[in-house]
Amino acid sequence: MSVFVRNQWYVAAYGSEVGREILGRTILGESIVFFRSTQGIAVALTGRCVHRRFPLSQSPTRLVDDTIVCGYHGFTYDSTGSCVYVPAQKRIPRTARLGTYPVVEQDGLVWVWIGDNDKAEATAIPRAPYLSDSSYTVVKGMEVLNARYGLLVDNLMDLSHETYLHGGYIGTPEVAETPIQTEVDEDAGIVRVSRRMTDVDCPPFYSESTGITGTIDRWQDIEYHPPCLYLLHSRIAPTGVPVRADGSDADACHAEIVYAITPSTENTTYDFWMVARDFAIDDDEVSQYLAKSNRAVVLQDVVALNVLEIALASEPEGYQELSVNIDTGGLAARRLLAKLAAEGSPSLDSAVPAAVVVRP
Amino acid sequence: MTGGGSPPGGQAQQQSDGRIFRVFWIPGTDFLRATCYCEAEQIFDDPIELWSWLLDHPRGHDIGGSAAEPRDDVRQEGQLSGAIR
Repeated sequence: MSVFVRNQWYVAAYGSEVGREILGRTILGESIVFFRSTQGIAVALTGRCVHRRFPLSQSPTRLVDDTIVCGYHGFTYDSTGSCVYVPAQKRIPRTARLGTYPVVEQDGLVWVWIGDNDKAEATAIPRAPYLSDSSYTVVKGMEVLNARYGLLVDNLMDLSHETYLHGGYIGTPEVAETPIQTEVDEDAGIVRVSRRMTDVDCPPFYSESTGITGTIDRWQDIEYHPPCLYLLHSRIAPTGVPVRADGSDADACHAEIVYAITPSTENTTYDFWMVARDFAIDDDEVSQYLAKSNRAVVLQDVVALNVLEIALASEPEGYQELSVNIDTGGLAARRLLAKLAAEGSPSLDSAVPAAVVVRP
Repeated sequence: MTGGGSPPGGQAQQQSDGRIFRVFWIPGTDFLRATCYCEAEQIFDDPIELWSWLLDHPRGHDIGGSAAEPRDDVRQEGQLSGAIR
């Protein structure tokens, strides 16, 4: 099983998912409810009533102004988690409060801190600025994977699988055949994997969306910020079209493929996917095509990784796997995840609740 | 395309001036050249061994020696044959 990496920020939802309806998510095994206060601030609280542990994402639990009213017996909590009403009595027990989670909304994503709340402020959240940049158009979705999050990390760090698993969408023979370059920035905690292909076939995903006919120069530059954020900077240009001398690249098309990899339980994972593009940004047909195609690609991964999870779960402990050159980036990612997991293992002072933090 | 930005490898990536390990897949071969932030280099045909060496810094990272030469057992695989010279 994968080891959870605590004391980290995770994407819990898209900003558009958090509103005046209660949203329940399980993040690193912790049941959490999300809602937006009447002031528009995203709130995250423990997802179980302290009374009889009723799931607070379950109807008829509801919001009344900035309070959440348990749908079982009516225990009522404010947005700081404090219980403000207990049925049929005036005294509110001292222990009647929900835990709170630091929350940050950034780039259209709702990030939640899982770990010791007092360590949240000191940990930076990686950016994906194109998700809220008006010069890009974004399509997005989320699928739940019945597999440990490490399998999705492995999958995304080695894109040679596109050739075999995603043929007809984004895979062409050249992806698997092109050597990669790998970098690990030890201080920033980032893994980069670059694959630069020249004069190669354009897969349907890009020929249909960009309108480019003929062969292309295709760059795949991965930037993984463990544990949660994965960025794939994809450059697509007709063969021979260079970056301009001044460093700008207006003659090429760019797709920023973003994944947020959020462990739910030990063997389930939220797979948030986004495609931000700087071409055909006003073309709804292109948006629909990319949304449909990328979801199809993600679902191909989901099917494969769900099957792989079942296969691995039935393997005896200590099974042997084989790593080759294409795994160089994935191995680096595993190492950083293991390092973060060791650094973030629970400490004795982890039970202190903190105020909700929201940064615009 | 309308965004007109810098190439994706440059526009969005967050860089630091710190310790960076680099692994370069040598074109036309099955070999990987590992470069430590201390500038020591070594060539491998196995990414597991490669990361073990990189992460063992500074042990075995002799930047004054011939670290960029493949080890004998790697050379004997016969695939290098001058391709990286």
